Amino acid sequence: MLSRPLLALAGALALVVGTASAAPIATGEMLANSCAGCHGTNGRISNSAFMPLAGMPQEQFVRTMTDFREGRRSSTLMGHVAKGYSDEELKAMAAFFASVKP
Amino acid sequence: MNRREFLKFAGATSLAAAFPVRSAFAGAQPHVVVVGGGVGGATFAKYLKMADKNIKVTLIEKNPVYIRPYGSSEVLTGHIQMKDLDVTYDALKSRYGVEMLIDTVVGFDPDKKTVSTAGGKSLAYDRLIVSPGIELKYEAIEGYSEAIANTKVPSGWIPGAQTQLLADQIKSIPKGGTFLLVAPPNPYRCPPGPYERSALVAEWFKKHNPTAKVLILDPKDAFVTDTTMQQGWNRLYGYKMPKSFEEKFVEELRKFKVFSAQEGVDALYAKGILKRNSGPSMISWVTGKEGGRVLKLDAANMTVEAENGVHKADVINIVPPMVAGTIAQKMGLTDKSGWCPIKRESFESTVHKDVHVLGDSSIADAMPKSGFSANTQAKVAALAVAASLKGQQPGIPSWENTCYALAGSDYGFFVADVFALKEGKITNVSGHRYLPLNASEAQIRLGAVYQQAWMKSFTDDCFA
Ligand SMILES: Cc1cc2nc3c(=O)[nH]c(=O)nc-3n(C[C@H](O)[C@H](O)[C@H](O)COP(=O)(O)OP(=O)(O)OC[C@H]3O[C@@H](n4cnc5c(N)ncnc54)[C@H](O)[C@@H]3O)c2cc1C
Ligand code: HEC
Repeated sequence: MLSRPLLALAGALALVVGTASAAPIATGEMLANSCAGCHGTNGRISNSAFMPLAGMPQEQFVRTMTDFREGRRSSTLMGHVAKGYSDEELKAMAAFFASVKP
Repeated sequence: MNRREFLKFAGATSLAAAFPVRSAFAGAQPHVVVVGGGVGGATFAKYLKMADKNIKVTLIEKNPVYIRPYGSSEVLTGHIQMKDLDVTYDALKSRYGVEMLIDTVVGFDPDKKTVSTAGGKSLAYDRLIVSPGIELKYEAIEGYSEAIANTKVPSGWIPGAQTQLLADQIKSIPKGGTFLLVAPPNPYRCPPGPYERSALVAEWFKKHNPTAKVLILDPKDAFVTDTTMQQGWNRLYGYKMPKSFEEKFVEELRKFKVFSAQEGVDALYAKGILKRNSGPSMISWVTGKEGGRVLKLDAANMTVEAENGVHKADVINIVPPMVAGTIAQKMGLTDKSGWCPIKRESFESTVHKDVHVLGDSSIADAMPKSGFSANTQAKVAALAVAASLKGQQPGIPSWENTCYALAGSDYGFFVADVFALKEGKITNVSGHRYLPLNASEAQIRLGAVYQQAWMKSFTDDCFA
């Protein structure tokens, strides 16, 4: 697994590359920390009703989260959670989770 | 320029090394001391070590084993046992290198930057984190005291021997007896908690003592999850929905376009959103408007005097008003509300520099006093402290809260928020917070499955 500072850097780099918006956003690490209470620290979890997020391909992550947000995928909870994040924030989180070894 | 600004200035111009201060800026290993190894303190210690393992982190906790409050009402129904609430500090020590000190913090010196313990130790800190939970104000209710809570009329809002006492009392309620819960005024730890506890006791009665009753006396007229919780009571325990809430239901269902403008209260029942219950309800909720505010306890006669009259019960459970943990008050971190004002992006106290307050004790705007809140506050603070020890400003913060709640073992729902800093306040940015009132049976059942899974995933994220 990458160390935290490297992960943070990966998130920050993805940001620089991936966004056009000028509004500053939280780092991928900061945003992703909120998910850990259910999906495990750094998105790693096993033997749980919750699914791991670590190592999820970025494109899949962003698509799943936008599907939750726009109501294209039904859910108990994630529709609510996904509404709290912009496209840029989802990309930053995607880069973070993709960089964690599952 | 004060000392801190000076140090920042000195750090920025790399003059710091010239000054023999015990500080990260001088290149020594910084020391962060955490007071309270509950949700906030443990999560902070773990995440600070993850951010930078070269920071020395000492966690001071008065109990060798943490008894988790979240999920503790499940002990009352025998769904779990007291020992299932125990959480050890082993992983914090062995995996993350957090130094544990089992001792009680009794004071501190903000100028010398030291904390002192009951065991006679004095520890120097570069940053101090305070997450001591709550203090219960038993005496705020006439006739109530900690001694009575320990022996006859338990609270169990800080779990421990009172939780077990309450569980034993519930089992000994005579057939058709009454369990009375006194709900607290805002703000308090775990907003859905008193109502979830009431529901779990009703579920236990349904199986073991079907004519027994749950009576809630409340100074408030509303609570977080009041619609979804009452919907659960209505479906499971014969509860009749109050008129004002029927209207709230219709309003919400219209807002989400589940109901047309023509559909009203009748449609709630026709469409199975609510049940028409004709028999007696197992749960009654007396709101503030209806005289539910409690004035006095008579423990000897097991009666409670509320504004609407005197109520006799077989078991009385009081969740008294509460304030920030005692040590936060002693340290002068509280304002006149009894809670601790903080700077949002770092949870640094606005009273004392280099001291951060997390969790229930802090004033965190729209964030409820919950374990989930304490956990994400701790992560924001850990990143802010790691940055500040390098002489950097805190980054843009982000928080979340989800309180899962049960109306029965297979009946789960939640309140969920994503929070961001907006105009200086911690603000919900995710919109609707509750499970929809037309949620399917499967969604509700899954809610209960996830509630149980969360107890473990969450404990692991905080402590392991
Ligand atoms: C019945 C019930 C159900 C709940 N359910 C949920 C839920 O489903 N979801 C949820 O998110 N939250 C829930 N909560 C709330 C949650 O447990 C608290 O909000 C959370 O524990 C707060 O964390 P904290 O760090 O502020 O305090 P705590 O977790 O209480 O930790 C404080 C720690 O500080 C220690 N301490 C205090 N003073 C000192 C001192 N002077 N020296 C050394 N140590 C000290 C204490 O021993 C304790 O270990 C529930 C609470 C209750 C009572
Ligand atoms: C309170 C618990 C909880 C929190 C917090 C939470 N999730 Fe989830 N997550 C769930 C549940 C439950 C599901 C299953 C879908 C549903 O019913 O909502 C899920 C499903 C998902 C999935 C789909 C996984 C898959 O394999 O298809 C993704 C992606 C996801 N969550 C991402 C996140 C992200 C990102 C965050 C943080 C911003 C987050 N979750 C926070 C509970 C949570």
